[in-house]
Amino acid sequence: MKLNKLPFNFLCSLLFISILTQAQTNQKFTISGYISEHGSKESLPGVNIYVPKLKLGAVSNNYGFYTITLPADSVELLITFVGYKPQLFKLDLHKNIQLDIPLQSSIDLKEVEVSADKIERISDEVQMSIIDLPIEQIKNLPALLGEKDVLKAIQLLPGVQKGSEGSSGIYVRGGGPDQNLIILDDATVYNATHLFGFFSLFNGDALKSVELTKGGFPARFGGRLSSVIEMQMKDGDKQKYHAEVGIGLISSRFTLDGPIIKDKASFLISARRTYIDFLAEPLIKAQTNGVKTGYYFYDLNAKLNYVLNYKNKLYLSGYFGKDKFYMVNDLNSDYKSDAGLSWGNATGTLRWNHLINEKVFSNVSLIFTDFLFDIQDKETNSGGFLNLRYYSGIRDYSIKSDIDYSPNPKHFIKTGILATYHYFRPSAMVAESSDPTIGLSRKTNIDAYETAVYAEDDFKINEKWRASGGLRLSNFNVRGKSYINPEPRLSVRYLIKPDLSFKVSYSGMNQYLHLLSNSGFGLPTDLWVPATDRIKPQQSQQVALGLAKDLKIKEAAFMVSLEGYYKKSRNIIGYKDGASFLNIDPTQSSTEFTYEDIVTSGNAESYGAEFFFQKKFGKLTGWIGYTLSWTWLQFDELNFGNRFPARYDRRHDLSVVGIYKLSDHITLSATWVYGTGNAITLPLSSYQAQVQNSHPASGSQVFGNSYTVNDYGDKNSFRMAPYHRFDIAIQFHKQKKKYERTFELGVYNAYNRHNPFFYYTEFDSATNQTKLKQVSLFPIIPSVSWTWKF
Amino acid sequence: MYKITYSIFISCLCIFMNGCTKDADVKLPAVESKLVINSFISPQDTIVKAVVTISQPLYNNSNSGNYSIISNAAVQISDGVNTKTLTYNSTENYYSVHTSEFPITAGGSYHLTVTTPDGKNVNASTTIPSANSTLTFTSHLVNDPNQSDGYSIEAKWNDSPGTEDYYRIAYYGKEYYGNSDTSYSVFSDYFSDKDADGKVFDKSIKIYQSISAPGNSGELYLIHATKEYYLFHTKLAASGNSSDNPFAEPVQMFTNINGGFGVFAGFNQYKLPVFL
Repeated sequence: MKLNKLPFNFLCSLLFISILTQAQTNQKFTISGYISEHGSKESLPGVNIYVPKLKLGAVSNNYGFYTITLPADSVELLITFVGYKPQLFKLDLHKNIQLDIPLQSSIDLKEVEVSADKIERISDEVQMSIIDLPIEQIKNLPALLGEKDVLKAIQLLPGVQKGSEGSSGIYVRGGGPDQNLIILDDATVYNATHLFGFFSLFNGDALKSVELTKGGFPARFGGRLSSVIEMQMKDGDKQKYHAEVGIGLISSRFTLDGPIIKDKASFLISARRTYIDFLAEPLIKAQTNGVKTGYYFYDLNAKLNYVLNYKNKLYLSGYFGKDKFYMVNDLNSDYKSDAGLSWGNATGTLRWNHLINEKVFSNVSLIFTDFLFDIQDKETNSGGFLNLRYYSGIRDYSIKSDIDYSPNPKHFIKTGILATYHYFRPSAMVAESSDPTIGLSRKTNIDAYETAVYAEDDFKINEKWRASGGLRLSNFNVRGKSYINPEPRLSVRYLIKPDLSFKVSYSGMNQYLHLLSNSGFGLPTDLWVPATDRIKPQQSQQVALGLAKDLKIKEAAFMVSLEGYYKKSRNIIGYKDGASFLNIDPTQSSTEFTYEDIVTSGNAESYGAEFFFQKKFGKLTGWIGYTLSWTWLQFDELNFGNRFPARYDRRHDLSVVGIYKLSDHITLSATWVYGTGNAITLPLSSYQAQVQNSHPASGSQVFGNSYTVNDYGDKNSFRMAPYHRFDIAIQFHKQKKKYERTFELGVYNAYNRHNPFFYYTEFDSATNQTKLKQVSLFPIIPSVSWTWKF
Repeated sequence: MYKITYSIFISCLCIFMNGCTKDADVKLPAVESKLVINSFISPQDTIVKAVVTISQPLYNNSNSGNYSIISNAAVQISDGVNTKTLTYNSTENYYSVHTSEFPITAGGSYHLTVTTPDGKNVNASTTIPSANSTLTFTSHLVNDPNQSDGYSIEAKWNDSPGTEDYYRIAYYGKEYYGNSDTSYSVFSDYFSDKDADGKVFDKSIKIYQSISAPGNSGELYLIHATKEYYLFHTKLAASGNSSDNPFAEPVQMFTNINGGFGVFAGFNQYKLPVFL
């Protein structure tokens, strides 16, 4: 009961503070409005509104709305945003002013560079451990097979590590890939990968913004321990139609957006599909004697938005994507088979923005998200048919309501509630046949309810001190068990010098979902399962401290940050020795789905330091990110209770990223990454072990026979070879009368490094010796792609 | 199902990825051969025996797979007061001493040392679980109506409270086809009293064996084991179960042999004939 009162009390005190501060000064007026891109009217989140005289500011929210309340006076408002021309407004503030600001996209880079230091100042921000990646930068980076990839760009940031070669799995500050909250227009995306993890769902075409938070989490985020990757889809141009078509080596894509009703409603649709199955079909058919075998993936983003009136806006957005591997044999008339493996996500979000008054903005979202993994096999012959199906998935229905309230420029309050109904189908098996002795339908569904309420305030204490504090209260109900956990959050900034600040943050996090994942690859067979009465929710506490500096060298602005973190997590799960997701085989067991039996709970401890040196403006942009880190795991049932390094424990991780705009027509880009090898468990020697036998008469039939077993040493005591790779790309832009064409040449792994993907042992009969072999996936891979923008 | 998943996964990798395989370009840890001991001792047994073999480094070793039996080791067992040397039996390939010469008692602690002429030296200790004076071990046979020749044996025993206890239930069924054709079916499972301290264990074992044929019989054993016995066997079972699953986590084998591999473990044994 006490806990339930906490957020209410907290909200009351926030309101009380704001009323007090309001009462202290008289005659204040509010300037508020929407910031959008000039022309397209695409709303712009994260735009800085700054009042130089008072050294106060505000930032536009996810929907481009801003509000700032100031004493009556003549004021100057400086509006700045990366990639847009800064604007200065002089206003006589004697009443509330509604000021909608169109920002002009900046083509003239020199002009931006001059004022770059005012556009975004890392030392001003209270939030630490947050990085937003401009979509344009993502699209300029070299990529595997030319497929631009948001998650792989995120892997280049400090504190973020990739799992293995080519994989888009993300490990943030020692957390597993299940501990990242990936949200697209408020909807959680459960499996963000295509083609067994080699490509992510997001290529950037439909996206407006990408932001990564890895610590100091604001209270509005919850449900995962390690990071939040928040992505907003573009709304679509409200004035003109645009199209973008891209052709690459393995896929093609197109994006179309434009007005439905000018200035009132617009749409955006963006799709991508691979066509390797079409190209390779004759080849594969020849190899498989006519059996059709292939693979493809597609994804589709769509968004509609409608301005009801100034105070009310509606947005409907969705994502649909699928990967499919198929094998069809219809060559014989008396035997046909159709087998396939597919997985896909679908998300849908309906949002209603309502401006309650010039200081209070609200949004209500209805959210649907679904992930399904499916293996099917249908066989027919003259004697009858056999259909086998195995599937697993998760589906969520959520309602979310958020309110932004700024009583004065010293307080930015956000509060909200979220309720989610999770429907888990961890593992289901269905068999149907014309043979009456075959027939099976085994499904285990788990229902769970997750709710959260939060309040946070970003407040300026004085010139030097600024803080952001909040509390989130989360609740999870499953199988009659209820968990309630308070999650306090606090970030504080102290300005040492005008361009140098010290920051510290604390976050308490809870995660009520676990991912059953085999440790090697990012397979879609990974199962999302809920915390239960037996398997407790994951919990973590993180403390981070750091220095942030805005640096100016010869007119060029740099942002430098150095952060240290310490994170302790408990109740994380791991597989017991000898277990894998495939132990959950419903054909082998008559009992219910028993993932709880094959996993064990333990603790994780991670700590490290991150250095980030970034240049966001000018001809040369990019960054250097370096992470020094340690991640330890301790499970009572693993490694005999002794702590061991996590597979993705990475002592050194370095990324160097550069994008150079040689001229208006040519852009060069390159990345170099280096990472300590993964910690894995390798068999070292082998010997014979015998079972105790109580029944000597049975002899070798039941015992006496020895089993050959391997000795692995300590768990994860072997280091794979370090990973490093150099990628380079060159883009040629050409502005034609009606369209702009970009031609890109890229080389992935330019010096052809054979990075190990995995190791295996092989007995060589010629030398009578066992060898350790490595498999590398991607040698040097050139790519070429064209993009046309209309 | 996992074979389908694995083959699809591997074929995808082969089709789409230009995979490259070569000798691993990485420094391998230095590994030496170690002595491997397999020795289980019990007050209910007639001999104390130990099998001594050798482990083989896995990589770049043309002897890998050659786990030779060591026949020239000095194997000694001690109860803290008396020490006895086990002699090598070249027919059975193990070292042994009769329990009339060196008795094993419930609750007793024993220390084993093994030394070889080439200077390898390992040792281990175990303490036989104390006799549980209140232990009752019963079983009865239940016909399984869904299966011809299918029966369940219900085994029941009580755990003593306040102690860390480990058990194994083992069933050996003998099917006799006349003359010399005899086959054995076996069932084995392991239990810990971690969440069942002081409680009654009631376990059902499914067997598929004709009981009507003359000469067929079965024996049910309850083994009250040491922790090292339990850990060694459960790890060995996990290793066997996962050996053909390429996705399975590696199983780290248990050993209590200082400087070597294998196990030296004690147990008490209770036996029930199921039907005769």
